[in-house]
Amino acid sequence: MVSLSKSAFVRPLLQNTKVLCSLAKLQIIHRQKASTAVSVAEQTIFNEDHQNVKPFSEMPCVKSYPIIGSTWVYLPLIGKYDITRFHVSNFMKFQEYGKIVRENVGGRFTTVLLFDPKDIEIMFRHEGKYPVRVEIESLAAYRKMREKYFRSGGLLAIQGKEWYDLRTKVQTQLLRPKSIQSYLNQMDQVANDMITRMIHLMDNTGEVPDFLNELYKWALESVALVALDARLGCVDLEQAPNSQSQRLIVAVNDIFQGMNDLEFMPLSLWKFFPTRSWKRFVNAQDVFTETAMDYLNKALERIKVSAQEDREMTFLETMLSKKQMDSRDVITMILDMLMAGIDTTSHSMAFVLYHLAKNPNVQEQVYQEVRSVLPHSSKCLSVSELNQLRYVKACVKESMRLNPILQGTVRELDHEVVLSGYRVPPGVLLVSQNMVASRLEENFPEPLKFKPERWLKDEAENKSHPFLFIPFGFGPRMCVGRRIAEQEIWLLAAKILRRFRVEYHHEDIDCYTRLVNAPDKPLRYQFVERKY
Amino acid sequence: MATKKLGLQLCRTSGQFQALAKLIKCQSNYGIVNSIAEPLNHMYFTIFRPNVKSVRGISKNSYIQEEWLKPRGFRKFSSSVPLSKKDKVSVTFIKDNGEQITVQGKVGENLLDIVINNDVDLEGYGACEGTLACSTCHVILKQEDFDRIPDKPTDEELDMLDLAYGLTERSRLGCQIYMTKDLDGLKVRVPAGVNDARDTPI
Repeated sequence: MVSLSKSAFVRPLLQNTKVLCSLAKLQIIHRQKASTAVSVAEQTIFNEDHQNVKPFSEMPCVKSYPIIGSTWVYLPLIGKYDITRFHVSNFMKFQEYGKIVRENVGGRFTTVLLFDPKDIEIMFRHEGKYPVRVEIESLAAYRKMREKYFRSGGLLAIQGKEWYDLRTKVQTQLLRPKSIQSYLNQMDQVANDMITRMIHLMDNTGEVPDFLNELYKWALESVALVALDARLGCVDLEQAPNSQSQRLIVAVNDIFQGMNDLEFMPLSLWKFFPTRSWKRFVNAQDVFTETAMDYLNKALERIKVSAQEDREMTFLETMLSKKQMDSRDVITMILDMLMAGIDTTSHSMAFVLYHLAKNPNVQEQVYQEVRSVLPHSSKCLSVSELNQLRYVKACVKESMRLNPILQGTVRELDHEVVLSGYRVPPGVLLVSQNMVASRLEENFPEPLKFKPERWLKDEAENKSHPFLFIPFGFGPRMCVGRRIAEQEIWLLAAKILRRFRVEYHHEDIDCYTRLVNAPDKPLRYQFVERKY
Repeated sequence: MATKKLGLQLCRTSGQFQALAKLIKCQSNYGIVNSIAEPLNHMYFTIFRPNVKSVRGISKNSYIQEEWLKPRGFRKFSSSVPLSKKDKVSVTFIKDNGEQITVQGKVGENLLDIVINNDVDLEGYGACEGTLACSTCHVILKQEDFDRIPDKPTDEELDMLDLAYGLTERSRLGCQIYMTKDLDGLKVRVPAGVNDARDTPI
């Protein structure tokens, strides 16, 4: 075991080119002060395939021109890639250039697409204590404008120590599985109400009109249980047209469309003057801010009233009672949960149902499992019963393998790494392409087949590379809402499949990129009620 | 929204300040994104309550209630294991270079708690604070120890273990191993790569 311990020792070595070559064999590129011991052996294992490190400039690159960069490849008519279908365009890039591709997006920043799970692993192993991801600029700009309510842009928009300080205040409550399990019964109730609502809305054929929007309502209602400590009434049967829940639902759609327009437009005009999309976005955000403030004040009242009682506090109450938590951090966090917890969860749910509808045999197995755990369909699931739903969970995983919400994860490293034999400088945006990689024969046999068996721990043969499947990301910056989302999806999936047989008889559904991956056709699922 | 509209309406029609007082006193109004509210609030205090710092929790200068910032003595909502028994147990961490570190912990604490409380020098260990988001607290146990740990790995732990560097059949995440009296003297190996790869800028 060789161990390089002091930067003072490594640096002069690096300046010497001869030694550099021999070091290059070890695939170690050293940029910053290495303050702690580094295990060389372990580094070589990471990159044992590569003998010669090639410079970054030799990496295959999407053709780009000064100023516009590679933007032209996405333009209609002259470009060959469809900007609304990143999974297709990135697959084409994979076929054309291979497992690692460099791209100069908009002439502004350089991205590297990683298709090889080994590279994805290196990316995550090197992200450090404060992983850096891309910011959602529009959200950050809005929150800056309303700084009375927000101290920072929120977890989605800040980096470094600032990000860590906020994250560390909330993550134990949100990510420890047990904390979110305390919301199980309430979420179960929301799922039941959702099903009642579905039955109410169904037409003669068993289709629920605008089912995706209904899923948004369910996701908002569920995440609000944790974020706002309240039932908003989004899945109630009767809703006044101007009720708070209705205004929220309208705002949700405006926010997603707005963010998509503002973030992906080639020219960010909104940064210079208030464009129409920007105004709409701000108005919609205001609706959410108002609502959040409302419920926050209610929670404060409750805390005041029940100060003497000895009871378990909810997530919101804990946040509000924390000494080191600025009230503005609480609002930021609540709104992050509402923003990030709607389209993501509901699109995932939509794809789970789609794959099950397309695979009746799998669905039958799910039904048998759910029925054995839940003899009466309206009964609440307990934690242990939820844990027994192994096949349901495997189906959710398999659906996320084929149709994850994001193509992959973006990271910016603060030091140089070697990926697929190329030296990648710091500051480059690394974009893991898990979705494309998960649909390759070399990574999963029969990749396009929906086979939940892949994820049953005991039965799985030929284990795939673990870094292929990380739909929620990995490490200190993993999706902070993961437990909430998973629990919501497991519950609703189990409840829907217990009650109905889901069928789909229309054109195949694929995804398109609308901030996150969204189903590209209306969800015209047919829900056929089961007899027993 | 309704209260906001009502408040503004009242401002226009009847005596403005009287209505304003209502608007500001009404706590539920404090959720409204309204740039007028703050200067009005300030005016209200200056004119009507020059000697009062705050009315019903709303202060003169702040639109946001200051009492949010005050500490509150509540029971914490948390899932951590109650430390009813303060029995001491010892754990030995064996680093990849062979160095052995033996430290004391309490029954009910997990290995990550023990590493943090004792400031054990394991760089990058437990990066996600035991939230099962990473695998940096990966430890390898002897078979008999692995078998006698009462809490079997959950699905969440297994998912993260899959992503651990140098996974073995006897791997666990330190944040999920809760100490019992029976586990006193436990020895675990902390594999290389867990910490080095993450935290050193190489």
